[in-house]
Amino acid sequence: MKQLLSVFRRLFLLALLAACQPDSTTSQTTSGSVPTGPTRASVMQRHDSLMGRMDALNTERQRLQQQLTTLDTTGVAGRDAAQTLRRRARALLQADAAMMDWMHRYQEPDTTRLSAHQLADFWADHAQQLTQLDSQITTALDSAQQLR
Amino acid sequence: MNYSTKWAPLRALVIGLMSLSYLLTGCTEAPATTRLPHLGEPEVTAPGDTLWPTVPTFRVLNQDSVVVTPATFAGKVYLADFFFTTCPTICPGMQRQMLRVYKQYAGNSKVAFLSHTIDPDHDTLPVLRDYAGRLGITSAQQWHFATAPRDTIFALARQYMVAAQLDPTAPGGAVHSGAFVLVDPQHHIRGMYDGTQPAEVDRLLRELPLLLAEFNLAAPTNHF
Repeated sequence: MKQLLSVFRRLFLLALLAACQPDSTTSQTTSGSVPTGPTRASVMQRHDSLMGRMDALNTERQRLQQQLTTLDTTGVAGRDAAQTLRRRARALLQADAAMMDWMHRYQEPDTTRLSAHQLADFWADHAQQLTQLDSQITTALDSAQQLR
Repeated sequence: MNYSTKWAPLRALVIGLMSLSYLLTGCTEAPATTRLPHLGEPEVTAPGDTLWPTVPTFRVLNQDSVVVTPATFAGKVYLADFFFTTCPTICPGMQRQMLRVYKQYAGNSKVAFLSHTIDPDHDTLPVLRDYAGRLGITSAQQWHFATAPRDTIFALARQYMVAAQLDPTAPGGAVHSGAFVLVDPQHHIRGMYDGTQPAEVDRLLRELPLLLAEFNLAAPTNHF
């Protein structure tokens, strides 16, 4: 009898331990471990806010290209100025291309197949990509506007 | 009898008549002759001779590889918007709303649609044709999905906004504002609607017949 009780006690302890282990095979999470962080809504809001700056990227690039056509490049100073204009126009173009590239690559996640943690990672990754794009766009625009 | 008591029956009569009049007019819809306003800053050349801003001239290519210019819309009203096929946010909703309007006027040769892609590198003619097909638009006769060099499209979007006296630098910019622009046969902008908001598109659906009536285009559906 004592042996039987000991076996039950061990089984109970094992069951208790197993229940405490995080389950990596399912997408179920307890309310205490629901991942927080970027969501689709916040990522798309960020995307829309960046899209709102596409006009500025375009108009600034055209302005710099227009400036280039009227620049006197016969002297060293003129040639340096032209090089700066070209470099900053190229940065605007690259920022624009990077934003469009993000959109071409973006695919909606399959929410039926990903776990809550995988989804959280997906949105965190895209949020980070958009943060980098934001920084690239801001730098390109600020640099262009310095040449007003 | 004091002043207040003396005039009480007359006051009651006036209030009663006003209420009756309010109730009667409140139940009547706006007359069909109501005209939509012209948007933008008018240029007045002489008293009584007001020149309203017109949409910019343009030359774009539609999904059937046919050139589209303002002349394409002679004798018609048209709705313009800006989108791109890989847009994950506002565009799908916008095109669903545009489709609502299209379905009301499908086959009506007096109403046209012009959707410009802002991503011409990706949205080539086959991509636009496929996109149109997925919306159920099998011919470009009424709904044009148009492309042009990127700078041309961006300039066009800004010019529409400026013509309507809206700020193209406002949040969303000109190309991602979600706006539907209603243009009359004289190329004047007669309405701007937020294409992402069903209530705004409801307003468009109420106002479009007024514009058709103004130009005597409200005849029964004319098939192409």
